[in-house]
Amino acid sequence: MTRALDRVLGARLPAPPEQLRRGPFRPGAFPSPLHSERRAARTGAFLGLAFTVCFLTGLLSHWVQQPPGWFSWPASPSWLYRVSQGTHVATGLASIPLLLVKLWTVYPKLFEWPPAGSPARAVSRLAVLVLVGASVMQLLTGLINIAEWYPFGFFFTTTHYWTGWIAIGAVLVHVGAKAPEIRRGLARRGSPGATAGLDDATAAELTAVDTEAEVSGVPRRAFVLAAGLTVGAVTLTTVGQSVTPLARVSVLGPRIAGVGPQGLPVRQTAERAGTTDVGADYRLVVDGPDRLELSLADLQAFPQHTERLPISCVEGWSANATWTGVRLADLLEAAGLPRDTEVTVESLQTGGLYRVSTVSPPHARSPRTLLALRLNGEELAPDHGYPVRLIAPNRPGVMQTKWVTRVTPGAGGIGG
Amino acid sequence: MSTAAPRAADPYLSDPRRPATSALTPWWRWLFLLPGLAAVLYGVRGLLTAGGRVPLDSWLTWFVGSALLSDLVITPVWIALGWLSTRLLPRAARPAAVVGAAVSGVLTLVALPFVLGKGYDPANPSFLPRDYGQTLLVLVLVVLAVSAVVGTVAVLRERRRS
Repeated sequence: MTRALDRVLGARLPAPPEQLRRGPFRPGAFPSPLHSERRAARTGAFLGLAFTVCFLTGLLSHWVQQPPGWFSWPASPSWLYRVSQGTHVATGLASIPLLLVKLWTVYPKLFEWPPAGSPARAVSRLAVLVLVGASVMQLLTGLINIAEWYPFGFFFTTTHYWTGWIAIGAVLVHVGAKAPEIRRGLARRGSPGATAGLDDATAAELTAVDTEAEVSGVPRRAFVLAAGLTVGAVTLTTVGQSVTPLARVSVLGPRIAGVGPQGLPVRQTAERAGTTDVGADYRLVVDGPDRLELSLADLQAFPQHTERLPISCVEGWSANATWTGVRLADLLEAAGLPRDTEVTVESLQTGGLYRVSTVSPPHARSPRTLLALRLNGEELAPDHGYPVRLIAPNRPGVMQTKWVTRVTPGAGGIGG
Repeated sequence: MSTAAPRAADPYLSDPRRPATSALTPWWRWLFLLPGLAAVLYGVRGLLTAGGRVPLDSWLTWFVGSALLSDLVITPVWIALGWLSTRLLPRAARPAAVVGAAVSGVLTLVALPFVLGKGYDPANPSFLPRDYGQTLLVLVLVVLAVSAVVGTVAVLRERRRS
């Protein structure tokens, strides 16, 4: 007795006339035995893992910048966001070769005959289109975004976030849809599990393909080596943008820790932000019961503290630096506010989504959170936020507001 | 579990109108299918309600364009290279050629946005601080040279053996 849903989904659909079966649709058009269920399942397992890591680290970064009510992000350890976002970008880059290898492996499926043998196959193929479109789009636009090139016509972060949900959902659907194939592909070659659920003829065919893959012109070992070396090469040439000891090895990384004004890379320049002419009339306003209006000299008169903290860009690069300045909590106290008041920090910068950021209580009260006046022993360079910038432990670079001119109680910008 | 066991266990075997494959089993596929569908729908809803930040025509262009780029450009080029290698290279040299071409090809793809430098900003010397075109060229040449050496050694060994 067959269940009703299976009867509908599994109904055999008529195939198109055989004369149309030409070119890549011909049987044997793709002779390599590496176009196999086994290679697809095994490459897919790595790719699935990589996508899961990308999704989770991406979700975390989204929550840090747009926290839901239940979410709280700690100020310690100071390197957590650096590691998480570095992992996000490094894993995304490593997924590029993995995805290409995987798509090559299953490429003959694009020309499967009949094109849709049953309604289940038609649905499955549509789901694969969503999977391929979303996966390639995430990696492609992500790569272009870290090159700071914006030819998209959409706002990158919003699109990357929502398309990320589609991509990870499509991965899950794919795992569910291909469950029998995955189970066979991951079982040891030659074991009963490797042909589970197949009739004898199909099982023999599958076994023959996998046996041939061991000895073909380009054998399985070369395939695995190519996949491993491409992932290794991409990682080694880029990961130094977040793993500082490898900075000089990663010759394709878009930033080098130690290279930039005062030995620190820059994302937003003072020129772009329109903050190059900060004069003697500069004041920092701290709103509170005892409102403060401080000149640069007033700030220098506060107790100065030095902290070693990283800038961790959402684009994946990060670098440590030594910052000196006034503790944010000291200023809040001087303005008559509790030391752990949630505040909004505002920049002199006139436009842009990131001109204000919210400092949540864990960061406001942290003794390591500074309104920095100096970087690596010198007065801040304009590109690093002269005269005053926020530097707090464990926050993305976009929330380390530069050219700070106002501190106000309450949540007003990114991070609030 | 033997190879015959799943067939014997097939509850549909006695049904002449049974489907080619069952969509319902194994049971654990639903642990992936249902949350997966929910995530896709959540993402689609998010895009549809994002308003001016995500114009849907641009999104569709990149979504469909990405699938077409991989299916109609990258993979066919790679398959054509593989086909050429079977015609042009001795069998023993092919693994090294494939690995070398894969590594240099992928490095080129990943480095391309940096080589093109569309986001380059002369006011920010800390961004794209290297000559990416030249670096990539050197990398590709080194990778191809190594694979050429390995391939040649493999061919010579093969000849000596036969």
